[in-house]
Amino acid sequence: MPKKSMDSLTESMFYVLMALCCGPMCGIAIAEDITRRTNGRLRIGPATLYTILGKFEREKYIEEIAVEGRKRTYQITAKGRTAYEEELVRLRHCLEDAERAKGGFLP
Amino acid sequence: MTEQTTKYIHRLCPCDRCDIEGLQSWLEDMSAEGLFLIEDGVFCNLFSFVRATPARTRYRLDVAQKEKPRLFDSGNGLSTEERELYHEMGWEYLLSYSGFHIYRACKPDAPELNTESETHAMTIQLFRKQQRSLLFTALFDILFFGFLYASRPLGYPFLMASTTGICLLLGIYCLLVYIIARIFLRVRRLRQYEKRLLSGDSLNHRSAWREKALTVYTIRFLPFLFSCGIAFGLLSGLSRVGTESPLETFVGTPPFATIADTLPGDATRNRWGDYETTRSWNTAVGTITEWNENCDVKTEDGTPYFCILRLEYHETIAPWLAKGLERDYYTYDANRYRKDRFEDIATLQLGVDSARVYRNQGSLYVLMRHGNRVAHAVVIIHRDNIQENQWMLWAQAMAEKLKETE
Repeated sequence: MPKKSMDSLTESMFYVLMALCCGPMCGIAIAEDITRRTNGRLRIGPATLYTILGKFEREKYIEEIAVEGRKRTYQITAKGRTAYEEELVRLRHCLEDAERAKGGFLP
Repeated sequence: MTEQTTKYIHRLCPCDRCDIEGLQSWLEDMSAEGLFLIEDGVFCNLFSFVRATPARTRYRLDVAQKEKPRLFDSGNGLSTEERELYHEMGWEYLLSYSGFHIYRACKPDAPELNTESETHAMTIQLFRKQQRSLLFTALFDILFFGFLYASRPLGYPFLMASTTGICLLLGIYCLLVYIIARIFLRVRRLRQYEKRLLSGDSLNHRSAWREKALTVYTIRFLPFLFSCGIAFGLLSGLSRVGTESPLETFVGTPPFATIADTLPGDATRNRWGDYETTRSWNTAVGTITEWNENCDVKTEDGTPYFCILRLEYHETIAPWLAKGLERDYYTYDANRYRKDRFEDIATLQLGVDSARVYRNQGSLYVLMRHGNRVAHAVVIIHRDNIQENQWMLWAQAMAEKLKETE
């Protein structure tokens, strides 16, 4: 089922925001952080990462705070943190629903 | 990629510019044959390779999001930071081509460039929207300039074909249709990619590009063919300049009415030398004769007349062409100056298929058609500085001529 962009976050988008919630990072550090957090389950490609960073910058979810040599460092904004929290709540609900469903069909 | 030689091998790209799957597969097949794309190795559709040990290598295309359209691909459309990040993640930037960056995997375990189909669809969508706006711009330009110069989007096809020849006309129209169709097909292809990605599929990296190669080459050859048609049409149109000759050199009886048919007697005829000329030429849709008369005439009873006749006489290969030509002449005359200067004077009943008289910017036009012949003339016949309806004399004589030669 196709989703409209930013209605909800994709998995890669969610992990990019999760990485930035821990502190400002550059692109390559974000990619490494995601691979480490997911034990290599999710390896984000460079094109995907740049598309997401570009999209988040336009949506004001993140902002560039420093350019050191060739590295650009991004940090999450309040709007980005809210989007991340909302997605987290949505995912928690999904998980709770799934746990409940283990017990059988609802009456 | 070892045993690299410095001798470059050039290959024409067998895929359309937006055929991401085909282009990736072609480059991978080239590497399997030992041909590796070099950095900045593209000019128009010609790619440059170096020969090395064959090894199947991954090539990927990525939409150049920040890039502005350029005339030639130079390979500078990527920031140093991006280039470095891609390199650290196992991808070597090679060149930019038609709105895409081309990368080659420099580490065998490098993750795919696009690891999420939904995000990939977003970049394809961005590029599709750029192409779509290009399509709308092209359509708007054609319609705008069509109306600006001809008051009609397609101009005056019959008039153009009859005077400058069919090659120029077809060349221009075909080129316009080609441009629009190519952009439209690209937009459609990108839309298909987008739909597939949004439904969760990824792009096919093993596309059968060979089957489509001949079609791509043929399609790519078409604009050259159309440009040749335009060039030939222009040159053949220019070549008829200089074939004007004085009226005296016209051999035989003209198949149309002249001043002599209008004002018989011709006691004195003071011709204005250089302004009295004629020329004829053939085009694929028929023949055309231009006839310019500027003279003072004194008839047998001594009445002086001042006469100007500028006539274009067409004999087309089919009556329907003559109909179209007549329509084009009328629309052209009606729109060539300010609309409020145009005035329909009369539709004449002279026994021919159609005959009408109108005035624009002070000039009086007679437009007549019979069968496959069309006469379009500016007729000015003054007597004692009064024009009155003297043009009717010429119109009647012209109608008789058209009926005679039926």
